[in-house]
Amino acid sequence: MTTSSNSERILVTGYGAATPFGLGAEALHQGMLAGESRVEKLKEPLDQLRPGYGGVVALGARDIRKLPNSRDMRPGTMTRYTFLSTLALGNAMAHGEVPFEDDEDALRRGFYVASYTNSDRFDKYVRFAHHVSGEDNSGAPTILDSEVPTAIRKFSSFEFLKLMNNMPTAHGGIHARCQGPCNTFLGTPSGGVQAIGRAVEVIRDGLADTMYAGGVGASVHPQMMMVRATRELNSDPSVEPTEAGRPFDSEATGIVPGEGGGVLVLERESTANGRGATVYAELAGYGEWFEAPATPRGIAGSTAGTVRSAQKALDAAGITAHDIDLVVAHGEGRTDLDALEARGLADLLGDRVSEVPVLSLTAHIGATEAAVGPLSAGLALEVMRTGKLPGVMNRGKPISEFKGPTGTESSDCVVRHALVSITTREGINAAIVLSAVS
Amino acid sequence: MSARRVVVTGLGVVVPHGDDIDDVYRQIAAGTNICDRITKFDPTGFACQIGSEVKYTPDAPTEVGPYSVHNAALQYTAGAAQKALAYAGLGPASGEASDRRAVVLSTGVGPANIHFLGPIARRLHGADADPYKSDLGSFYDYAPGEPEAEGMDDFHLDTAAPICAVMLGAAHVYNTASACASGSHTVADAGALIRRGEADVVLAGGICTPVTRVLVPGFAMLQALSTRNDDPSRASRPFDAGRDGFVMGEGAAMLVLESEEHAKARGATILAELAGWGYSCDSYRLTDPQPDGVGMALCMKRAIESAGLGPEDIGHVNAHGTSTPLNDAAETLAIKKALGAHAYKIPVSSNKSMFGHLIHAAGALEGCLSVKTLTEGIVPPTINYEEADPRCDLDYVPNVGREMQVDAILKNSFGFGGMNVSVVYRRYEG
Repeated sequence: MTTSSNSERILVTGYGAATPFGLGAEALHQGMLAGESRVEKLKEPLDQLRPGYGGVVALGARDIRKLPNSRDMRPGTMTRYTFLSTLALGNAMAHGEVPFEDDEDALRRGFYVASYTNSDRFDKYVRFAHHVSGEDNSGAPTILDSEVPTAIRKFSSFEFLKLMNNMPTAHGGIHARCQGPCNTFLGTPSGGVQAIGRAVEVIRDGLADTMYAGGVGASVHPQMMMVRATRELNSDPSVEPTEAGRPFDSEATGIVPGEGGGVLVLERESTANGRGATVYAELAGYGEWFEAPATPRGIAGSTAGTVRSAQKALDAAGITAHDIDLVVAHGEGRTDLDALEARGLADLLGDRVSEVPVLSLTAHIGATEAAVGPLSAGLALEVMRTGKLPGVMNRGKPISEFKGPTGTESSDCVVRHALVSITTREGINAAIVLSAVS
Repeated sequence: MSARRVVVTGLGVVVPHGDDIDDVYRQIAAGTNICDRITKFDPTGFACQIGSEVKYTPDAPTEVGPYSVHNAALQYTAGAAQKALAYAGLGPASGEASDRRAVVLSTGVGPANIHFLGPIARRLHGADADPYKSDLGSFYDYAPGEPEAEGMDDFHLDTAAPICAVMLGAAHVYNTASACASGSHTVADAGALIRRGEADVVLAGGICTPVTRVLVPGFAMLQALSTRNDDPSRASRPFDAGRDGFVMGEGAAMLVLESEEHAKARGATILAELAGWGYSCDSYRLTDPQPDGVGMALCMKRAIESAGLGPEDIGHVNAHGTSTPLNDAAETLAIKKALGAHAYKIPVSSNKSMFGHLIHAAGALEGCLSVKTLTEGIVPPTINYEEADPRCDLDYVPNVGREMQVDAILKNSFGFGGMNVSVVYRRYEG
């Protein structure tokens, strides 16, 4: 599926980010230009859970208070996902200088965000499970239902509201005064790109003039870390944390937990022009393709998902692979998926594969789940805006499938068209094209 | 916008009333309650002891492509998808996934079935250890290597939508959530994909399994659930003055939506038209709807306009009707704002009076029943309606279904966080 081509342009008039480098895509870009990694050893008790390190966003409730229209925000009612989503949304609102009044415009504003749901009190769930666990007369494990009413009182009532997987959207709808379409996308690191792509269509359908769209990830969390540890997907605990995230590198040992949120402000061209908004780029194309894993818990057997999702985005933008100046890819940090993604990008780029830079956030902040696409878009927009291209990091011994440049030094560049392409373990792949606007 | 018409050609459910949508509709039209005391666990001592459970083993594949259908939620998903595709006359997918097919599915479960971690903690810390003083660090170090930790995979239903995509042969997969509005949201999003020409066939719906030891008492703490424990069959009573909350339900429901030309070209039976849809967000509070119903009314108006209809064209409202004091009053107000005086002339009923609230699947199940209402000509009742609430003054089809031909149905779904979606199903006229 590709974006429609039958109406006015959809422009990016702001972008927000919350990453381990702080608030704003500029901070992320500057950190990458400096060749820094913000992956660090975790505190107790998470340091006991493989790999024991991750990319943590060191922002708090006070930072929420500094955001536009934050008066009604209640950080205490937010899970980490909602908190990071709210930070990124507020940062985007400020960056785009988007109004947030309860007026007619609010009826035509919406918010699409990709997320997950996790309790921040996973410790309480572990203790709950322990509390209600027992043995029957034969010594077999059983659940003591009679203990549940007592055990459940250890939770606050708001815990169960916070858990609902649409809460990032719900908080955002209140925060940004969005009374138009609002929805939450789940379940894959490409979800943030899907949210952006579908938000474009909502504007094209005439249902909104302005859409906030992005994604959030909070995998520095015992639940996600335990899932990955169980599947042996996490990186090696013995590796130096700043060297652990190794996209497209043969010495990569696995996924580095990371967290963050990224949100774009998308506007119909006439709306952006009408309010005199600063235009950062055109959201020129979107594409996606699902290819099921070839084996249980495996990855796709061919590059079709990567190639077709990206090709659709290029087609929608009216450009070819020869026009791409920059790729920001997933680079998850496990060699099986990275090899698939690298082969897909090589198939797409053809004879230009050796010259088109391929960036990835993984070395700098870890794997950020559904935030990776929107944050990658924010990075691409910063590269387009400043003309400063970060060098690659932790890619000293690239996998054989990776054919792109591996220069570690930052350099000057001109990017007219950037491709954000997210290949996922789940097989749900999505891509967008950001094009400079003259 | 393209003028492509969107039609419904398939319905599939695995819900408490059964997994044959025709039979389920007959029960609903007859006003048959399914809410009862919870049996999946012993709820004695729980604030809410009532649920709407799937008490049979659904007919579902055990594997779909690379995916294992290994828990109840996935069985409901695969079972409902299988039924919907068969209803639509779409055979098993084969060959390469199609760019013209998509899945839009809403899933919800959260960390609801946490108990599998208990034996690990007992094994590590000892049977007599105080759960609230045990060392979490050692648990995190120890637990991932234990076999029970495989249960972590069940926290998120990541594979539910991909399973449906493999069954349909779809190259496009969306897994979305807007709380209790989710089911109708997927239908609306699917309609948009077809209307704008992006897809020819979309499988849309929802799945939810919230009748658990965590979520039932948890939502009872939010005071969202009925506590009429001594009379479970009369606990779900939308619009009645004595309503005190909803009944948690489980299951899956899906609709096959197609472009009219695609359905005709393959000779499919067209059940109804998905004529329009509307979205809005209250932007008000996390738990409460806007009390004046402005947001709800807005999405109803948007849906009717999207369908190219006027308020007077709506023959029946299939209400969200949760049985909570706030929702039902606000929805009534909103229906009157959206439809004006016409609101008093048409039947408004809540299917939830019979099976409770299936959360992420609710809008899709009630969408299936709306389609059946169009084809069968019986508007389902709102059962357990005994005492009028002055704030709820519409015709709620009290207790007995009503034989009448309906040409257009407005289906409402409203979710926590102020998520509102309305869709319009219309009698198909080729």
